[in-house]
Amino acid sequence: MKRKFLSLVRVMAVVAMLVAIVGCGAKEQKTGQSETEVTKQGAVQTTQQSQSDKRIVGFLEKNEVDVYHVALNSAVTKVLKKAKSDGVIADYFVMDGQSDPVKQNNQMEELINMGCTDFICIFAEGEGAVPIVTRAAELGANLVNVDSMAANIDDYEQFVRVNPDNTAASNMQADYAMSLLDGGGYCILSGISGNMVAQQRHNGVREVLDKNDSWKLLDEQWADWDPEKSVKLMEDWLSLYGDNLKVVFCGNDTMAIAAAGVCNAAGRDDIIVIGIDAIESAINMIENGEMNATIWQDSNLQATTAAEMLIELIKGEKVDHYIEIPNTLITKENVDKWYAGQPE
Amino acid sequence: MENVKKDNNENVILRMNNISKTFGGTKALQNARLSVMAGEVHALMGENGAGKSTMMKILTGTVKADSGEIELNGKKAAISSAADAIKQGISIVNQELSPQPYMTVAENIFLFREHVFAHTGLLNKKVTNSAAQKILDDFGIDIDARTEMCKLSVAQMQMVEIIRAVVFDAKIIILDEPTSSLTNREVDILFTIIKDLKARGIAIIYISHRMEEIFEICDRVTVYRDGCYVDSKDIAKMNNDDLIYLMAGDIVEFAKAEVEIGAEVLSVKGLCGKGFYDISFDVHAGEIVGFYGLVGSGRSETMRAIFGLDSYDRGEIFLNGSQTSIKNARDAINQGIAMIPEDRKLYGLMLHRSIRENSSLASLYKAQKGMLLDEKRETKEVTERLNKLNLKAESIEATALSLSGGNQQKVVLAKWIMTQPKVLIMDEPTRGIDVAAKAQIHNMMCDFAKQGMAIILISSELPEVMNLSDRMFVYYEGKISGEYSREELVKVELAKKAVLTNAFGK
Amino acid sequence: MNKSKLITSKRILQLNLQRYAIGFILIAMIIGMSLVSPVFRTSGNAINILLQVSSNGILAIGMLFVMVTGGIDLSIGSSIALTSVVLGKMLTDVAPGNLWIGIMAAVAVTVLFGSLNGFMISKFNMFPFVVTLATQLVIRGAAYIVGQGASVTLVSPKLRAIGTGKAFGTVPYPVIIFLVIAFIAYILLHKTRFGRYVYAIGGNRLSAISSGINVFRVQMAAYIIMGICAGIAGIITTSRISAAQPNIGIGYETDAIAACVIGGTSFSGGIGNVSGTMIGILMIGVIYNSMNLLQISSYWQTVTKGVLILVAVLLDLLMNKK
Repeated sequence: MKRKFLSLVRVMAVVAMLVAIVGCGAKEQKTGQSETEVTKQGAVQTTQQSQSDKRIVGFLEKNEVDVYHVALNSAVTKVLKKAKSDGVIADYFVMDGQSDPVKQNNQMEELINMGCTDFICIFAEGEGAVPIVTRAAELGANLVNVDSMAANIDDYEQFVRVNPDNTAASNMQADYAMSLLDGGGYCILSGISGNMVAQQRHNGVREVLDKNDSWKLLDEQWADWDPEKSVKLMEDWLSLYGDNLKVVFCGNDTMAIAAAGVCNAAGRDDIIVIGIDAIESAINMIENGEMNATIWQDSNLQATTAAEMLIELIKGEKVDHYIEIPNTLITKENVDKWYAGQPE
Repeated sequence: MENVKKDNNENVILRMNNISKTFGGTKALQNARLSVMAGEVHALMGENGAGKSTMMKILTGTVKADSGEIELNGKKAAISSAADAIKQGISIVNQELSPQPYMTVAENIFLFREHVFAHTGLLNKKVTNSAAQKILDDFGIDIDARTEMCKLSVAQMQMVEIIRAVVFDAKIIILDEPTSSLTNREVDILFTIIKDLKARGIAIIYISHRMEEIFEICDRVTVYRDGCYVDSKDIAKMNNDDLIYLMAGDIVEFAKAEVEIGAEVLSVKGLCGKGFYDISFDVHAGEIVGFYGLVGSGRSETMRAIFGLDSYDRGEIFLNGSQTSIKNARDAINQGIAMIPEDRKLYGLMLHRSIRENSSLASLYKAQKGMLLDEKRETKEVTERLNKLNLKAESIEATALSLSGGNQQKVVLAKWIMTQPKVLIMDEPTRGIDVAAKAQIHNMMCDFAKQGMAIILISSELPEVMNLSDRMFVYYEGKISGEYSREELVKVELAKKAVLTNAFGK
Repeated sequence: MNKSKLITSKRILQLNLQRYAIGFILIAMIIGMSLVSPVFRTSGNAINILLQVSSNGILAIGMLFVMVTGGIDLSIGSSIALTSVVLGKMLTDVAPGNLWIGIMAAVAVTVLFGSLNGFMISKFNMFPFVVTLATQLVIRGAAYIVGQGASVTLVSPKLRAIGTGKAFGTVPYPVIIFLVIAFIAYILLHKTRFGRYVYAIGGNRLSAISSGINVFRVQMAAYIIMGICAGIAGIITTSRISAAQPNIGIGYETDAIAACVIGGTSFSGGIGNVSGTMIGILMIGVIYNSMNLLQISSYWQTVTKGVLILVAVLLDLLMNKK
């Protein structure tokens, strides 16, 4: 009886301590953090007010685990680092969202608490990002959205989005296929089904090919960006459809590489495999003739531009709301174009 | 053949008639019966597999009889489940206790009969603790009701289970081998409690193999053999031999043959460790050396150290004359020492594996063919060995769990004999085993000794140790307090007195 | 003989020391971080930590019931997703504008799956690990099916208020919900007969059965409680991100289990308590928050959580050496 009471007391003590910090923290008047005083109710502050000397950038990463995002992340931090050493911004903080929109929402609050005044974000989920964007607007902060868009990003003209048009990218895949063949059976390997990017990269193919009767959709599956799942699906498709299968459209290069590997091993190098992302291993395979093409969305350009645009906004310059990153089809013929665009 | 005259219908609290039960192909019970009176201590005896455990399982609702009826207080009773049996006043304290280890004594006692506040239905811890303490005090049991169950000794746990039965208004309490892990002093306390229960009109069904106890505490005895009811008699009118005869018919009387004692095999000098101090003794080929003492006096601890299961601080061990060190069990086995542990279930057997797998475990190299195991060879070796041990089982593929206590012990024995040891340590080998199997194991031990094995026997049963040992040591509180030769042991009564004095300290 | 009485008080001290240990470590962490990071000291950050641990804390409380019976539930992460999607579907298609019907439907679904888990585990004695590993997949699949794989933004301000609104202007609603649930759990688990039976099943199942306890009912109840907690956590999460998403909640069961283990819950059942679990979840929250503030890579956060669990289990083994 006594010990249970005691332990309850201890937990209450811990909670009380945290709450006490609440009270104390309200009176914190150290320099740096509270100049950009963040109100708890998230009341609207005018942009002028937040243009005090100390600008701190918060960077919400989607994740740090796949090649594509690692490249995006480092391009952004490169620009931020330079901006810090040039004195344009006071500091920057980075958060790994681990592909979880809930975590990103939590991390947004943390960044705000750490004094961030401006944000650059790669969102895990389009819908789950909505509150983050709204929050930034409430604070009167600047926000640049890279790559994966928030569902409400277009509602805020003062924010900037820098991303490729993923639907246009998969349109391009379809156009390329049509340039090689007059028609045939095709399959689509797509990413995680709830994900906006995955959906757009899927829909673009259907958009183009549904209009054309000589193209027949044999199957489409959500392979969750996962190479293992792609391998299994590709093997099944080969046995199911045999020679009828002419083209495989893949939502990203990771899946395309896996699918191409299966086709080649089965002696079906006649099958056209097209990816998106233009990661290095895919480029290598295209050079060797093991894969047909990919769509290059120049992540380096994308990330660098995005970070630079944020710096512009901080300086007070006007920036366009939507900066489209062009999609470029990369095949064996024009790989040097890709090489030219790589960072040192 | 009913010899019970005092069977007034008013006093009979339980009657089981014509109970039959078949498990698979085996007839566990055939028209068995039992009748118990209020306020008496009624012993149930019979070899393992004779049917008494099945009778109790039926009585406590764990098993349903195929036919027959049960009457409680003259009225027909149906017992549908364990909980139902408890509700009808039948409680059992199992040989293997299974309390709630993380709850307190009070919580265990009142599990499913908790005290709650009247209005809220919330648990009333204060009343629970005080009520439990009161009952414990009433029975003279010195335990604090707030102690965690797992901190109690086996004897104390048992007492708590008995108290639980009382709290649950048991009219019949079944005690299954209650003294198997108790010291003599604890047994005395238990018997006092039993007498208290008797005075309250509670009937006790007492299952045990220990004849001295049956004669001391029980009023009547019912014997079963091979699933059938044999007889019920007043204890006052019987003696030892009568009882043995009832249970097993004729048993080969055990007589220890003369065995030639060979060279010294194992010698221990000044061994000290946790629970034992300055132990020195030696064992020769063909010898059976007995170690007697109270539970916890240090015998098992010594042997565990010799076998490499525990470490020792000081002292020397000599095998075949040369000094050796034993770091772990594998070391011990490789040097020719084998040990049959005290708790066969915990340390001796993989209960869910087959008899074959258990028997061959310590000597799998014998079944090795190249890189793999040769199951045929394994089966052959195991079958040979088990036949020599007279093991009765449907097949060696049956799980160890399915065997009776005596047979399980034979499997453990088989396992270690197959390592062809020079020294065999047996720790309480016949505990909880019926008389017939016990005699068989005793015979086997003498056979092994004849073949030149040195045997160390730890036992808390004085007659057993005195009968079998060529030499005997007595332990008291971690030290050797007495040594007896065969000549001295043969003078039974004198020796007994001396030994017991040594065992209990002066 | 006073020996047995000595044992009790020594043991009580030992138990307290163990529970105190976790609490003291947490307090030490908080003090340490407060000295190192000015941001940590702010009210905003403290509120943030509490807010972040709320929904995981509710999951951990539910998991506590299940673990004390000796079981485990790996499907709760998926339940969060299903709740989210069902709530979304209700608010957009079936009963738009009616928040409470949506909430009840969402919780009803997780209760249903909780009952399914409980039923298979209690009736057929299947291993909880195996059953919930399977339902984890089933529920996740259901989440995709119900929403057809799509995510939906939910604009209902009433919904939004649950996750982001604050009582008295400072304490976020999720925190209050968490504390209320923790309190109810405390009463249920430690003060009622039902709670006692939960411990009995985990401590010694045979003893519980032969005592007459209805093991089936009590175990079902534990898994249903878990389902309710998962539903509530899912609603709070959905509210906070203002979206119905089928692919959230991945790995949330790990955090819940970790919190319980750190708080002294044993996998074998029969041991565990509410206050320990709360300390566990707070500790995880403080560690994550601290690592973010110190800008330590998230890879290390994962390692730290694993190490924390190992340390907690080791501590438990040492303290409980019988």
